[in-house]
Amino acid sequence: MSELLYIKDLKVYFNTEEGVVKALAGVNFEIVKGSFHGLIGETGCGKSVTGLSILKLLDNNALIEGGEIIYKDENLLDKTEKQMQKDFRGNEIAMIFQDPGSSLNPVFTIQDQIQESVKMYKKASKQEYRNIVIEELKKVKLPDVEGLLDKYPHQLSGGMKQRVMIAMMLACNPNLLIADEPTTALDVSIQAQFLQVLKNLKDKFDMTVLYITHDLAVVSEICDYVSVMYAGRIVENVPVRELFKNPVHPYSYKLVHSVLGVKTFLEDLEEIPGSVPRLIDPPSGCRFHPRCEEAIDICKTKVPQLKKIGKNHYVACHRR
Amino acid sequence: MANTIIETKDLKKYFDTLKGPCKAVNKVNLRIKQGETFGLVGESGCGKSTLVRTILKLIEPTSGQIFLDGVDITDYKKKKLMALRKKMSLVFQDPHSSLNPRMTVFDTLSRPLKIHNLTKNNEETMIEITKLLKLMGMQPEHMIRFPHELSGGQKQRIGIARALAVKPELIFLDEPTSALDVSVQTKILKLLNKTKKIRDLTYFYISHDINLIRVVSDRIGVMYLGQIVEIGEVDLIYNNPIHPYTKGLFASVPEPDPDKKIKGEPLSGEVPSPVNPPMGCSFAPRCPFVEPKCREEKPKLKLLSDGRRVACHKDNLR
Repeated sequence: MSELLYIKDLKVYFNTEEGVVKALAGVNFEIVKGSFHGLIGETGCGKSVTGLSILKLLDNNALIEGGEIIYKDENLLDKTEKQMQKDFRGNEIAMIFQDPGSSLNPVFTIQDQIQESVKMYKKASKQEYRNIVIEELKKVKLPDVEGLLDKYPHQLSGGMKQRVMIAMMLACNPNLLIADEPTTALDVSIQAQFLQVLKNLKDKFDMTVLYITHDLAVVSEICDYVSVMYAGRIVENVPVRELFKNPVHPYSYKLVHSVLGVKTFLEDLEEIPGSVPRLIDPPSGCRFHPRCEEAIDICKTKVPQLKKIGKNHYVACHRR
Repeated sequence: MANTIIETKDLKKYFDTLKGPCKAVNKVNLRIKQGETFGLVGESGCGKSTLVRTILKLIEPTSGQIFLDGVDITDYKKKKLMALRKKMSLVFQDPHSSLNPRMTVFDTLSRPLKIHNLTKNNEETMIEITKLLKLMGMQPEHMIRFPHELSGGQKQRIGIARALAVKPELIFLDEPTSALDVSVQTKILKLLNKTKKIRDLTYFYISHDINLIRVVSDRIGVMYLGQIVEIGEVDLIYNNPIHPYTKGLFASVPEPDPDKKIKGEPLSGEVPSPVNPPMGCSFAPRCPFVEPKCREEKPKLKLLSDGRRVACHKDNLR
């Protein structure tokens, strides 16, 4: 097993008017080459920040306090902005975002926008560019590709826009794709089509994907491994089947059993007492302890470390 | 049999656009029984929300009739409409934008009470609001809070309390949990379920989330391009969807089970524009079982032996 990306003890803080927000407080996981890796958690747990940190696209008020992001034996955190832009963003690691409507430029045609990323690595004639763009659009199974080239984003539906985003990213031929809630704005039928496109890409191009989402059903559909995140820390790294059969961390357990569709009756669904903590003033020790039914004294004082409990299965809990 | 609380007959709502009328709701016939939970599912743009807003008379129907407790309310205006607002209310999708950021919880909840003269003085209003907050599992001190001081789940509880304030018989819930996290979603759904029993309510859910509609509803309706294509008992439809659109829609939903994967693309293509819907069955251009007849004639909802209704020309699908 070889990992493409390895994140070790990543800490990211944000300076805000109210104080320092400890958004990431020790994130640890690795992404195996050629796998779909899911990163799940509720709103505000730091999923997107993790994704943005990998590409070093964080806002100006972000402070990377510590840790390593090792991509192909190089620590991305040591790279300068120039090196990131030239050597990593796009051609090695690419990202697609939640809302395809706002990530495309409304005043440029589809061809212009995809061409732009092709131009970064290839000099060619107008006609050649056009052919490359057509090829990329065909990969994501868009209908009537030729007619699409001169259209503007507002003339496309949400599902089509998201595919254009993928085509744009494919044009750079990256090794790792970070997808941040790519289907949240889409309908289920369009989501199913989109997931199919991703699955095909994995089979054909051996793509590695970090899939950030709050939707466990989607995770079960396409991911191989999952990292469960809570309040800025990874609480469990687990193969997807294990997560649904045998979620070990108390938070993972509650999360899996609160998903509609796992249970048929409303009364059988689990609730998580309390609410997500504010990260300006996070709970001491294990950040889940105020909401955990199994918490003991040590949970309040000591941060639990990830420990191995099975094949590719790690959990951070004092009680396990 | 329970009484019918809401009935629509050939209800239509067209919006004028530059390209012609947009047929958002196109001949919908519905009957909601007293005390049941009805769930309406469909993808975005199918007309779910427009249908509910038309029934609530927040927008005027283009044609057709709406009956509440057997009384035709289609042409109700002003004063009569006010009385109607006490019988039916609505919980909105996004609690972050449906609450006025400059009004405290007290202000928000006292509005409906004052408008409908349900309380005589401030003291009574206080008592009533305390009761509502308690019902929602909240404390009296939340009364002086502003929306930004509340969590998403708490905001939606206030949204529900506002709908309950006028003591309605029927509540429409427009995607009440889609803006919330899963763990909060469960709490809100359980709370709604409990409140329904306490207050003896009828619920009309609309959602694009099929799994959600399944756990809350007694009966469901599936909507496509302004029309109901299948309607009946939730378990019947869930275990054996008959209309080709229902089949495709249900097959598109990923199951939270890594051993069950979606097979291929259950629904290919995209929803046609409601401005220029297909001539015959609106699903015909995407239907894998399409026949020549489907492209010419609109299918009507037909009653099947198990009590459900399906709008499809194909008889051999059941």
